[in-house]
Amino acid sequence: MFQLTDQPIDPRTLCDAVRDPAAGGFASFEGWVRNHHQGRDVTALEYEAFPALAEKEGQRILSEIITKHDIIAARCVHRTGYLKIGEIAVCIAVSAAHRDAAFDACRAIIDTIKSTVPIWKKEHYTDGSAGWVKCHSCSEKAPDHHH
Amino acid sequence: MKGLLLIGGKSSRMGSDKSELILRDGLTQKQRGTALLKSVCDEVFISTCEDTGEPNTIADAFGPIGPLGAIASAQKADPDSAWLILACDLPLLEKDQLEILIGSRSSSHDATYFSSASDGLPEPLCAIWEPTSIKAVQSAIDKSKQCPRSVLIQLNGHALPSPGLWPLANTNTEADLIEIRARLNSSTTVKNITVSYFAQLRELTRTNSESLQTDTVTPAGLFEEIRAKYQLPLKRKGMMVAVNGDFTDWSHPLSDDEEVVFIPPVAGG
Repeated sequence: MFQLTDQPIDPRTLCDAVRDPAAGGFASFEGWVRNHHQGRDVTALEYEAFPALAEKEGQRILSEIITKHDIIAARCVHRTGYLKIGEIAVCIAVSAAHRDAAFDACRAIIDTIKSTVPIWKKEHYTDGSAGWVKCHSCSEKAPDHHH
Repeated sequence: MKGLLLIGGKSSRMGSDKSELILRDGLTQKQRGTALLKSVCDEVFISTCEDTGEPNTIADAFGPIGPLGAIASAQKADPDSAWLILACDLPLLEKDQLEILIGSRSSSHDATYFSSASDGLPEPLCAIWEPTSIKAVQSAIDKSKQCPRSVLIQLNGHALPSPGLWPLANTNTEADLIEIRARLNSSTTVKNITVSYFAQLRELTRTNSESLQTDTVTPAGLFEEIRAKYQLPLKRKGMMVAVNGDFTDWSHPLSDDEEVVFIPPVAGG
């Protein structure tokens, strides 16, 4: 259900993977590479993962959310490597009988993935410099991480 | 020289008052710290939040702003004396280290302190603060910049080499306590551990993975060793740790041949 890939993501593949005759609602989220961050011009992003644990944790998040929300299926693909502006960094697809559950689950998946899955992002700026992005909300959540 | 023992407030991370912890010699950290100071100072005071009226205490005169406020309060009580400031939660600190500090004291400097094993910066809470440091302490408090370490960095200080990782290790978290207890009980054994690095840690250490020998007993202790080895500008707070491919606690008991990954704040999506 959760995958890492170093190839461009095709959202239609994810959509097809959650298709189901019992589904009346579909929600998806795509995270795109943006050309600016905190006032600085960004030229590219580089994602690095701790693959074994990222896939294990991603899988765990999807399973937990499928149990908690009334949804039929969920998939998530996260890209690694060097990405250009506009490329898809992460894509989530959720199907459910009704729209509320699909929207809620989709939101919960991206929020949780951003805070606990061991994936890091390095921004490359127009002036040639680069830096690892700090995610503040996740550092607050980190001490509570228990499975 | 006068001594001031900092006993802190209620420790939020430990969930109890760490000055009342008994870790060695049947003494609470407060009692042991007082005894250590008494062995090297003319007079010893204990820093308190409120004025208790008890002898040899100095109440915070600048409100609950932490250790710098306590230092300033001592300097206010006696501006002409040098103050040996000591945090009570350093169970592995010995009298020897205090003697080194005092023996190396330079009154032509504003302070005499040890350098930190992890980042080389001043260790402010086992240090001698001279009367000439008062102005900088006051000015920092006036600007609400209450980090004692930053004040020492600005001062003309006499920096001594680090006494090593453990003498100045504190009991901030449960994992710190486990690591310190193992050292006090001499129950540490040497283990072979593989550490893999990702993202900024991979860049800072310039390595993907290494095998090392350690006598630390938790990932917390191991991280402190690695921080010191590479002088990493990263603290454990906000990070996670994985052992053998899954998340675990910083107090996980390390065994031989385990694989450890330190996880800096993540930023997927």
